[in-house]
Amino acid sequence: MPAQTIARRKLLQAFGAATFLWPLANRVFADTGSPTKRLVLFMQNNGTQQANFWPQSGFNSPILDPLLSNARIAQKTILVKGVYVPRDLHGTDGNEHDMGFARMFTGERLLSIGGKPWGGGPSVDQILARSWGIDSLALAVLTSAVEPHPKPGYDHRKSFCYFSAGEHKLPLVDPFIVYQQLLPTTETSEAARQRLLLRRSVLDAVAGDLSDLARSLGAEEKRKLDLHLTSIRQVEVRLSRAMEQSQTQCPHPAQPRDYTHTAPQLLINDESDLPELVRIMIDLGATGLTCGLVPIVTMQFGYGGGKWRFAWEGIDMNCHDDVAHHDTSDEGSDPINTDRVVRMNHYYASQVSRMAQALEAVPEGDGTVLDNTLIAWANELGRGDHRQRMVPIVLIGKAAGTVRRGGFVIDQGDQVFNRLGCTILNALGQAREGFGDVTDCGPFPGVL
Amino acid sequence: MGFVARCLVVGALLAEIGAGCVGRSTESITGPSRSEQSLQTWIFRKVRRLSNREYNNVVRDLLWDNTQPANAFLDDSYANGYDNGSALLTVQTDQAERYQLAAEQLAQQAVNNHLVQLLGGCIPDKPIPGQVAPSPGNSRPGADGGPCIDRFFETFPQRAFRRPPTADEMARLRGVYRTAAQLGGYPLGIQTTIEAILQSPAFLYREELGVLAEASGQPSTLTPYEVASELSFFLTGTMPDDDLLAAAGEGRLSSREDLRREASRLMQTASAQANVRQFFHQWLATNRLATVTKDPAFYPAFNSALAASMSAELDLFFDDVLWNGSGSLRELFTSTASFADERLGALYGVAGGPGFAPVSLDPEQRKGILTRAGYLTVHSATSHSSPVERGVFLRQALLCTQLPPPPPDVLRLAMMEQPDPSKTTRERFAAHSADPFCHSCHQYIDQVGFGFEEFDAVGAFRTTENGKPVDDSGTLLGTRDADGDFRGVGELSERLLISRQFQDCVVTQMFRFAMGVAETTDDREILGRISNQFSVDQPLLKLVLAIVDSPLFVQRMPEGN
Repeated sequence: MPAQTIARRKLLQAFGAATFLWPLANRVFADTGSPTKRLVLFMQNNGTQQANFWPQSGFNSPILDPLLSNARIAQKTILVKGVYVPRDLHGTDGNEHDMGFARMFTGERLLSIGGKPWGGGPSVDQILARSWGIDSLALAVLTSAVEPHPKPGYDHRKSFCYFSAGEHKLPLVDPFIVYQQLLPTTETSEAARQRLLLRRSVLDAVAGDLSDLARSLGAEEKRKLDLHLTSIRQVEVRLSRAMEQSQTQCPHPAQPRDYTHTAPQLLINDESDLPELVRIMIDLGATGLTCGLVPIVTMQFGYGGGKWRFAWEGIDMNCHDDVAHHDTSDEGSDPINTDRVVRMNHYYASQVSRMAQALEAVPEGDGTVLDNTLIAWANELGRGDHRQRMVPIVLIGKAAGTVRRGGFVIDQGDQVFNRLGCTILNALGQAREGFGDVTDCGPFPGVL
Repeated sequence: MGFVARCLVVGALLAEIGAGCVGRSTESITGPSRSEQSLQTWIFRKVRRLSNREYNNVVRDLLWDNTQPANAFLDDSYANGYDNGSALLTVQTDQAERYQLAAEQLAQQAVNNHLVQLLGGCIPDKPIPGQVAPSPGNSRPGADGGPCIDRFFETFPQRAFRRPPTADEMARLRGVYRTAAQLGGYPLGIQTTIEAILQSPAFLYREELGVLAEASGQPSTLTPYEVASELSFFLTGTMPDDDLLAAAGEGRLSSREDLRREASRLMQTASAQANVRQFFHQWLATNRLATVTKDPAFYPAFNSALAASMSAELDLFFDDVLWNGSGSLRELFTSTASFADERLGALYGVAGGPGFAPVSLDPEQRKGILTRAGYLTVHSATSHSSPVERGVFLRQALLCTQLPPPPPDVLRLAMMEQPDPSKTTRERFAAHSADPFCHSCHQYIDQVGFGFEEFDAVGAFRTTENGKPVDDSGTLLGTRDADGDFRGVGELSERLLISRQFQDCVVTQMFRFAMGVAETTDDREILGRISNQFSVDQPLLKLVLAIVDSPLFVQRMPEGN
């Protein structure tokens, strides 16, 4: 198909990388019987700059320009106004960062563990992953000069994705490992086939041990072992993939450096390579989606309540405490601070746009991969001074036709955040009337 | 009661007491009202996945590997605050894949370098390059094994699983061996079997299941092998040694006297010393020194080498207090004896280095752990001393107080927290006290943090800031028994040492470290008994042994209660 060839070449050029032997698109989906629909979640911290986020006239804004200046993307984008997260502490000492971060995609009330706020149920990505019988690709860039690790007792800020109440789905933070996982070296020799045979033999034994142990446990502990067993089966799928690459070419980014072993500080407390890390992660996520390797990708920009310095945007400050917190009105507290908040959020928009454009560049069926995808970009706060009203929600893509149209703002007053999860599940084939602790909220009006 | 149910119970309780700032401190755990015989644990039956640190320690002791392969594993989330096998650790696909890769590398290295040891000293007929001659009478092992292979299966799986393997587990391992040996001979068989062992749940999880009681709802008692594992991981952070496994297998790990004997023995090991250091570093959050950063615009001299010196000082200080000194909390919180190299000597104003040497710090400036540069550095912002951060941490970690979150509009005062060259840090935070809205909570936080104001964000002593004198007076409020004014960290430490709330909190922290869960109100009676038997003047190791001696160490409740 010439059109496909051209589009893929364009994508290849965008990645600046070589071609690669690749299985047929959607092979993994076909293997697992899951639908071709895809989901991408972006989670951002510290709120947005309200006056510069929402379109004032037309369908664009200073912050969203990287996304909406592209007409094709804009036509597939919906902005949801009025979203709020009800204050819920549920016995914890968390603040609004925690509430928004842990609740946005789980929908549940917080779970107190030692007084700290954890997500109270599975996040929407894991609900779908379990339903589809596949694994999601959880990505994050967590490097932070100000806060290399969450402060003591705040490990709940490491991930917004949950397998179940209190159980994180942890993100991958080294793009080299993501690359190896998505693009394993093709092994077709006899020695490699023997190796696969032995690995399967080992994993079968491990699965047997897991099943035995699970039988002796109560329901909660058994669930832990069941997750482990599912993981073992997913490893087997990955092993098979490494043996079966052939025929088709699929473009992909160049292999990133081995950060963990050559420059671990760039993954922990040195932000000098941070924009590059984000870029590679998004490109790898797009590769997974467009090449049919994974149907669900989550991307987390920093820890919950993160403290990036945004030196690459010319700010170089603790942008949580010294910038976002100072954005104390929708119009902005002072021009200098407002400009900083806008630049931060413009950056996030540019990265979301990068993903959307990568998916839009690849034809699929009568449209593009983006047409079969739903991208949901959420924020833990509405505004940087911990306001949890007007939390900006951006939906991109058509989810294989369940999202009928885009290019508009839903502005129908207050919308409880649970509608986001309900919308995502409905769009991707799960009939739900609510989500999390609001069982009858329905989806956002006008999306489906 | 399952884990989530435990969390919901304590969450509801804390929500109830979280109605205002006053009275948020944890309730007293002053001891049981019932007889000791009627006390029971509310820790449920569970499996605890090895933490990354434990994994590194275990493969070191099991396979002679010092490469610390778990450093490349996923960075776990620890819900109970300690990295010692938290009850919520799971295995997602990315982690299962890391386990697989690590197992393959470890197994290959072990077979290449330690085959004879793996075979229990047995030497097959064909010498392996670099190994000694074969044992007489042994035939080359085939796919069905032989004496040397039997020896391997008799010893290695039991050490790796920390208990005898079940018949089904052994049958699976034998199957793996056969498949591999048919392809590549017995070395490949052994190697692949080790790969299976290192990925088995029997290796990756510590089992705390026990033998179910006949009466419904009654706690089960852990098996001797489970007790051996719990004891070893709690005290040494690694697998049981051969003596401990032998004691479990020979019925010598059943009575309280048996546990005390083995605990006392283990506490003499180097692994125990390293593990106690880990407890301190994690309790006090000084393990963050490895990655802490400071804003070079404010602290240009701070670098990773200085942070490493701070961390090394604390290691030496902890060891000195615990193993050479009284081992008491009083010494830990009042001692002026420490260690310094050249870098720290310059910061402390004492002669240090080259290398670390014992030093005596100025008692007017630095008494106890809270005045050490490492503690002060991790508990401060990148650009200032952060009285709020210091106050919050002390209340949460040393007094086990749950603080309420800032109210929604609290950030209207954020501007005042900006660096201001015309003010001291204390002056910048004064609005917290001036505004009644803020003061209602910040009186419990800032007034503690202000006591640290003689130390900047890298732990350097100061009497002035921005040309103005520093005020280190503070007030401890809202505690059960330690309220009052103080001046400086030395007096604050003394105030903690007279507080039962502080002592109870240390007991609670040790409980979390030991059990891999956060406590609930159901655990209060047992923790109260332990605290009753402890004091700040006794060796901390006595507290460790008291936990080993308690019902919570060997009993588990069935899930669903």
